Amino acid sequence: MNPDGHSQPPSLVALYGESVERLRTAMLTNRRADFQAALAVLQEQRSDDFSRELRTLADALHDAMVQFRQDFNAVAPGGHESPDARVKLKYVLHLTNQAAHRTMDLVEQCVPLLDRTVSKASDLAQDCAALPGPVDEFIQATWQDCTAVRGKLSQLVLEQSYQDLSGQIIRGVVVLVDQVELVLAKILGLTGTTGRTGVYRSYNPKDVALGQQSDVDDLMADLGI
Amino acid sequence: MSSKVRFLVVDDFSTMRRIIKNFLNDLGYHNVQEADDGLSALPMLKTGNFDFLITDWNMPGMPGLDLLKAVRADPKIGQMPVLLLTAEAKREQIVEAAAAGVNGYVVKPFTSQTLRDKLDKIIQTRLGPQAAA
Repeated sequence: MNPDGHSQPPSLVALYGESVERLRTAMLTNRRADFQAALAVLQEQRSDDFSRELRTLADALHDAMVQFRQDFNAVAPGGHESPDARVKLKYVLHLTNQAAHRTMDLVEQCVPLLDRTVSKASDLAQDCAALPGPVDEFIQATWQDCTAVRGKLSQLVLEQSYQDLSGQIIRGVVVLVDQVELVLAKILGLTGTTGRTGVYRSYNPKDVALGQQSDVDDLMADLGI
Repeated sequence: MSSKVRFLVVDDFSTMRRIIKNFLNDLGYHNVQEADDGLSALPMLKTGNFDFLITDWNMPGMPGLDLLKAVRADPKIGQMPVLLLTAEAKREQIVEAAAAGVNGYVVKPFTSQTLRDKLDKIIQTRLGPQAAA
């Protein structure tokens, strides 16, 4: 066993030593029929190994999906259960969307209250020019604090944009789950084949995103905009 | 100060549409309508009832870049200022948007200052100082 608990794979000598030796002997003695037979055995062994590896990967993926279902059902409120990963992700999307709108509802309810207080404080300061010092200071502080809170509430609304960004990522993961399920179905259907499905795109430096707004501004300026 | 500039905000996420609308209202732009993708936005734009388009890029139906190209291809609304507000920030995409005639490009997540600066710049240069809030 490895330190991480996984079993050591059998050595290459244990797996292929005998077949390779038979192939080598046939080659050195120029016995063609024996050579072809030994080569066929090696190819069959390789095909068996590939199938075994595919089955192991499919089992691991299946276990992960079962675990995901159990974990989700453990935290889903109100016994909201679903066997489909995509439905779960769309549910997360729905929850975050709901929470973001609820936050903005509350902000929109607070803003008029603050605006009213600011307006009244301002009127009071103008109407009663000779207010006692502490009262005047209190009115000034009220006006300043309410204005500051108003700014923070606007910022709070802007921060809800995380829902749009996380939502786009979740939609991307839903597409990925579609692809994984497609590949898994192919693996189960094609056990014993060696074809590659080519699901993942190769790395392209042109795909690298510009991380900062300033980088985007520079590029736009270079483009004359 | 209140402005008469008429905005159309296009995004498939209702949260983002609401955020941008609130933000525009705070700046003094109160004439703001919404659409959830390019397909529903284009007929609205073709009515001629809008002065400024703010659009997301990645949307089902008709993405923002296609909407931008459709706007530029229409002689009636082809001169309209267009701001792309998007999480898409790959160099090739920005170059493509510039080639299609975008007037501004803001990457999500954005700060209020960034969005305000871009809006001010486009309104000043394309619609004139009198249009600003």
